[in-house]
Amino acid sequence: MDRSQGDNAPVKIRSVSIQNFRGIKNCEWKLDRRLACLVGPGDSTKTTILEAIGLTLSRSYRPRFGDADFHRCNTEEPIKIEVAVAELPDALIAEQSLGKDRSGIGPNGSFQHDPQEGTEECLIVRMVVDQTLEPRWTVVRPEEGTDEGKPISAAQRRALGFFRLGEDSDSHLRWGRGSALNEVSEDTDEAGGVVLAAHREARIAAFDAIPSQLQEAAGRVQKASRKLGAGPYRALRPGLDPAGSSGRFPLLLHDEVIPLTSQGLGTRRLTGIAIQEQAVVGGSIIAVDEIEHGLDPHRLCHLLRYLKAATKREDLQVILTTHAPVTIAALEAADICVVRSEAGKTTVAAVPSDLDEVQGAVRHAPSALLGRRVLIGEGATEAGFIRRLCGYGDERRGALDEPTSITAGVEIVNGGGGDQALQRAIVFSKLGYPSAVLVDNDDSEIDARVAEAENAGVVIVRWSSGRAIEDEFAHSLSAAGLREFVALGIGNRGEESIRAQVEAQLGKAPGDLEGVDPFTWTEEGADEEEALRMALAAAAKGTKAKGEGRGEEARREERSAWFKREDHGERLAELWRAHHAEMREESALPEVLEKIKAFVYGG
Amino acid sequence: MVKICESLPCSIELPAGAGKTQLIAELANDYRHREHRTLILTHTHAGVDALRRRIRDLGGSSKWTTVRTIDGWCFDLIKHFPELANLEVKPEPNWMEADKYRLAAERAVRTRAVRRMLEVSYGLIAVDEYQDCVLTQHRVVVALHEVVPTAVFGDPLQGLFDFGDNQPVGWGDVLELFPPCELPIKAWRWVGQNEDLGRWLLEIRPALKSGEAISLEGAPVQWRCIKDSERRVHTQSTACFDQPEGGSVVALGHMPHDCRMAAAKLNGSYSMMEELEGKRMLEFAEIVDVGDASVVAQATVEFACECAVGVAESIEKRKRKRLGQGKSISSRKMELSNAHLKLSALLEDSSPGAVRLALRELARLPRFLLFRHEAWSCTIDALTHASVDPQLNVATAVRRLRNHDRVIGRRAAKRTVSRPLLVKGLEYDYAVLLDADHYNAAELYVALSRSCRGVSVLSAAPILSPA
Repeated sequence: MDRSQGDNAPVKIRSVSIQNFRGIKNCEWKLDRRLACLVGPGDSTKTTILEAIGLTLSRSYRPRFGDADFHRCNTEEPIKIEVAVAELPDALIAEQSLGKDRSGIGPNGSFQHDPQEGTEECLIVRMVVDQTLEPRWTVVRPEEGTDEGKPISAAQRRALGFFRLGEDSDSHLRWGRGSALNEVSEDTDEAGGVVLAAHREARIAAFDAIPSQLQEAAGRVQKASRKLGAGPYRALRPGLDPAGSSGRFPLLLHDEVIPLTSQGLGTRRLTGIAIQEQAVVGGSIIAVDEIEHGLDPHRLCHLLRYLKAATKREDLQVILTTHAPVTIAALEAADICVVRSEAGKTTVAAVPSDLDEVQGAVRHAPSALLGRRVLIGEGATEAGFIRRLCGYGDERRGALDEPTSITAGVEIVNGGGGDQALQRAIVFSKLGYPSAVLVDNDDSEIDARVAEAENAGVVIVRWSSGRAIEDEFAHSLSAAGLREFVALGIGNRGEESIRAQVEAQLGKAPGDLEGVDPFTWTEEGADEEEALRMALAAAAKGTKAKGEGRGEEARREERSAWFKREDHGERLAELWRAHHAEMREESALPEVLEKIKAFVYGG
Repeated sequence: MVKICESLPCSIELPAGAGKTQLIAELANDYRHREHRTLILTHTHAGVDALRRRIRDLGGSSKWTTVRTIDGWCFDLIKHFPELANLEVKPEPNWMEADKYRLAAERAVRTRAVRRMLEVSYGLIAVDEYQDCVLTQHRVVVALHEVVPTAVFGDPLQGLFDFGDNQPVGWGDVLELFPPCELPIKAWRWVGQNEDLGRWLLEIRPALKSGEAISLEGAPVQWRCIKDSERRVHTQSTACFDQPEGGSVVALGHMPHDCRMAAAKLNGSYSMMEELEGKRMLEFAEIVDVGDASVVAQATVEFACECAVGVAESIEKRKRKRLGQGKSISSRKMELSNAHLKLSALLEDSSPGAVRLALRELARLPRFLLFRHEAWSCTIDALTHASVDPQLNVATAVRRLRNHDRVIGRRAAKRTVSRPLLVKGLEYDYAVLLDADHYNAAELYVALSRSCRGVSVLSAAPILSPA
């Protein structure tokens, strides 16, 4: 398995099919990437998928199975897992091995019986466990009977180079095949004492008696670990495990005299990955459950960058699960696969790689992919507004011990502008996240996209016709509320510029207005108040006044708008909370809020 | 050896007994030491056996050398890759379709996936008995040689065919793609045994190649005169009985019928070799499968008559005909009555199980002596399989068993009656040519070169003019 022997890329998994395994009644996953990060809410069976792959590609002769490994403990229905692997090593392609048992994967991901031209050669490895709890591994071809297949030996599976890095990463720190040590009891009885004393002597002697190959291996690991940021080891070398003397694999990595088992979890995991990488030169597949486990954010980012680079070079395939927004933010949208489980059926949906709008969405709100439902505000204002509202709702419900938006797994996302917000909502909806979007109603250009979003199942929440959030507030607030509205604007942008904007909107000469009370800026009277509210709304949106813009069309300008940050949106929510009792009747705010509430808390 | 490696692809012409098997085994061994696997293809299963044995003797293993028949290898390939081969086949081969299989295999070999498999699997392909390749087999080898360095071994003087429409490859065409690699020739098979015979066989090759007659006067062979007369069969069996004890003997006839006659006369001391297709067994199996009770009953006893002496005399022709008419038969003689009863029982129940019981009862007849062991045991086994598995018909079971033999190779009896075509590539201590006047040059050369210790030739005169 020396990589220099061929220019083939190392083995990679192309599809996974699982039946009746633990929480999964059924799961079909096709993947075409070297990096796949599985995300999804808790209990979405992400880890079970890793387990299934691991057992099927297991290099172990006999992993143990129990009744609980069967879906709903029903042993009548056998566990059946099929993993298709491509980019096969020469050792498996030989005619004496499994060369005549290859199938093909067509460009659309469908299996072909033979590896014809234009298809990707693959082996479909099947593991079946029936009531006897004895696993059987075979290589099968598509469209063949269930009992067909050619046995694949543990040695042949080993050639696939699959490694699983789970909680048990310490097993990789010792010389041996993953077996835990017989732990020497720390009893102080005489025999124990003798053993212990002898063991201490042996430990010292062992350092000197290590064959050079082992020492070289330790040196390679030290180098690789450094690359991964595992820590500045002084001198990695093999030594006898101080915790055990009678195990089959008592040799353990030490840094000088300190066994690596004494290192922190993160360091141990990183070193474990480094060792595995060294062990499988020639390429392999690494599966990591909860990659962030034990790692601080900068180490995590470093590891992810490292793994991503390795997958880009086609040196590795990495399948990982995560619950950390940091992980998602560090990856590309296309690296991410959303896992959901409903009534035993697990679906794995890849985030489409050709959708740039998603990339933005993921970067801006990585945690959205970790939630269950996604609520998108058109822009920062709306997102902040909704976030604060949910805060209020959660406070009230929390006090009543009712589910909150957090327990409901609602993630609030900044849509990044009308059309883009809708596109993101469509993408999330297609990935299986129930999605809602709050968008303005003052721009008819997005109507087509609104219809598309509705078709995709997105819940659309809009202000009344022709209005944006600023319009809605400027027209709904009581006089006191309106004064605060203006005060907020002044707080964000300064007195001078606010007055200048309103002067332009009201058609007044520069310097005509004084003070900060908007009701002093016009004559009294219903018509005048209406004109004032329109002017304030327009100013708050940053609309250029007639004559100011280049064309007839009124144009909004982001940098002169009053509320374009999430915290501004939050202030608006506070404003609503303070004044909602005295809203003017025409307001659409209560209806909009009701819809949002229904989406967040259900019903 | 080095010369071969340097001139790949190439062809090596070697006469019989000149160490061809040994050379191929050594070549594979040489590649093994350089960590390359060798695929060795030949024609007969006997050939497969001989090569495997020789390789094992040199310390080789199946890890480094794969030895298969060309057709077996082709079928295995296309069975796994029906789409690449563009031919859907049943799990069991039907060798009537062999030509189709080969063309399909040629297609498969030319695909990317199979080429890659071959590239990583083998450093050398050696094809034995190349003179026996029909055109379609040649096409497969041509496709193979484009992927893996290939050497072909053969002797155009040993090209024997009875395959009807199938055209053997012309040696001239072989030489175009596989330039000849000339090696010094030594008659290894006869070293320390009968070196005169070995030398003589090399000497007569030019005459045989050019179609001239050869004289047995002064030749190191034992000649017996045989005339077209009633004593003919007697002379033949005397010659067979006269062969020394302790060595293997092959008696070679000309037509299948002659062989059976001769074998029957030899009272079971010689066993008759069947052709691989097992025509006679299939013929009988198909009758059992059709299941017309009276036809089955008669066919059962006729089949036994053809396999063993002692049946025809115990159940006379008249009784056999009665069975065919659906009438039961019986005998008052104690030792014969059971066989009669079982045969009559077939008129009620002609299932494979019942036929098997009848055959076994026939085998208990006094003076029963088997001379077609192969045909008999294969048929008994096929009937057993069919009787326990109602889904399986007897003919399929026969084909399966023959295919099984094809794959694992059959064990030759110590004393065998056969024909040149069937013993190509096999070696014996002594050979008896029962009817040397009727052979063509290739048959004659093959027959003469089968034994390393001695040859007896029966012919009308001590001059042989091959047809």
